[in-house]
Amino acid sequence: MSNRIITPISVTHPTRKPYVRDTTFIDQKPGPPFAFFDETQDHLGAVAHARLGWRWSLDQEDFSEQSYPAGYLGVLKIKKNQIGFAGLKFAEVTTHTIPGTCGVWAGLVENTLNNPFDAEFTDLPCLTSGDYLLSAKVSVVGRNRLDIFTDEGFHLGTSFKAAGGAAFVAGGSSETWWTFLAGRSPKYMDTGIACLEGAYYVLQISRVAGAIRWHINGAPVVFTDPVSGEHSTGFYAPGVASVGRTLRLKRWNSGPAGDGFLIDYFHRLVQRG
Amino acid sequence: MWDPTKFPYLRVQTYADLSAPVVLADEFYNPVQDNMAWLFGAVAGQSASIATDDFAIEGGPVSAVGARVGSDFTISSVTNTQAYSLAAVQAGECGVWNINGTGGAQDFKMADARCAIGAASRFIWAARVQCLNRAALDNTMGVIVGLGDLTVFNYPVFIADGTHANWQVFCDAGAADTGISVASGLWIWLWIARGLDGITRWYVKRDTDLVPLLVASMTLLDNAFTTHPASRYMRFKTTSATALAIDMYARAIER
Repeated sequence: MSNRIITPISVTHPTRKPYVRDTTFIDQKPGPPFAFFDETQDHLGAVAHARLGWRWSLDQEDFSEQSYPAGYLGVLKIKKNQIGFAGLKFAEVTTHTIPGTCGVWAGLVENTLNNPFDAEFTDLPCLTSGDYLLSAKVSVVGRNRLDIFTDEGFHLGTSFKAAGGAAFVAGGSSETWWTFLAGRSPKYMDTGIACLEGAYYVLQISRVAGAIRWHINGAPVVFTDPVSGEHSTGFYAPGVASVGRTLRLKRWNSGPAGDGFLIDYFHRLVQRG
Repeated sequence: MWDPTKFPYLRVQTYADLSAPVVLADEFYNPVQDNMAWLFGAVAGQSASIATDDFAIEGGPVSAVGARVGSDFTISSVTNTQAYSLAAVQAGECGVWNINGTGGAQDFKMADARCAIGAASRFIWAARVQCLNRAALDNTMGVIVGLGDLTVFNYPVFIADGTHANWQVFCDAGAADTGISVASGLWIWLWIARGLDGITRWYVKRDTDLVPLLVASMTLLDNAFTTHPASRYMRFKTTSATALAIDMYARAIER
């Protein structure tokens, strides 16, 4: 048990190991992969910690059940679902045409009276000064009729806008996904990735050593600074953060029935401390 | 996976290119395979059963027998107590539920589904709790965290009570003082684990400890829990209204 280390290698960067392989080893070419040995210990350790130890917290929601208690969508509490007559109607999606969807729930406006809606969902956040990874797979229905993204038409992230944090946003004001990071100027940045009707998107927000990055469908979002023209894949935002799984969806205008969202999973991995 | 003071919870070595130590089969290659098999096997229902509640679901207050606490627990007995989720207030808290008094002496029990462990199987129980006021704990019961209800069987448990300043451990083979004080308002991790050698061990970790501390070891008299299945159990008994917070409660059992 010599050479113990206190800060193992992080597991919240979704495009690096252990999520993907970075090297294919061939016996005796070239030398022994020593970095592999440490990473393997730490990555395996992180899973064990998340289940039975003290360094990581991992909460998964696959929306794999056919019913949930009143007031909940999976583990997420429905904090608000109002305006109009019934707000969003939640139900398991029973017809699948896209391979890879594994248990999907829909939150769609049902009434035919063109009423607006405003819905909020959250779990209990973690407070952490360490790394985290938020992963969700969603499809937005009627994006162009939602409120503008700066007004939380669709706002999925670590917390609601009023509480700050980091998020993916979309809305009626833009055809693309944008990112949100409180405390930074500008708060909103265009990803350049279209938010298409009927398409599922894997949205991931990671913090590794204080650097927040956004990923869409496995690829890192690359930003171009509007002033300097420099490219970057994230922003530095260290310190204690409140990391919940939150979603707000809002259509303050009249619109047809069937608008809302589909969600396949919403997971959270957080380094405790 | 069955000892929180060893790999995979802690590295066995830190390796550097072309430098000592040698990568050994018994400390790297084989433990990696074994622990991966435990974790993947638990997902597929082969090697072990692992249940973890991070108390990440918002809910409550609840105060009735049969009500749900967190995601996995059910209230089995309750007097002058309610349970509800709390907002995290310090780094490291990942969803917290509060077991809080409503006035007068409290008694509260919650548990998950019972499991038949078997005489030779390894197990590990893990919990993170915070006692808000040790002075208000019942003299003998207080806070009990472990494998079951002591009024039914002498399960292996941790106990914090009004009689002892330190956390106590207890099982059918006896009791022991951990030497670790019950500090009001501070989080503490508690583990009870049985290894291949059949010995049951108790570990604690305060936030100031870098690694878990082994605080007691005993061999259970009824190693098989023959007629008393185990569960993730917690009791909170006080002489006046106070609170107990819980952040995480997990267990793994070798199948």
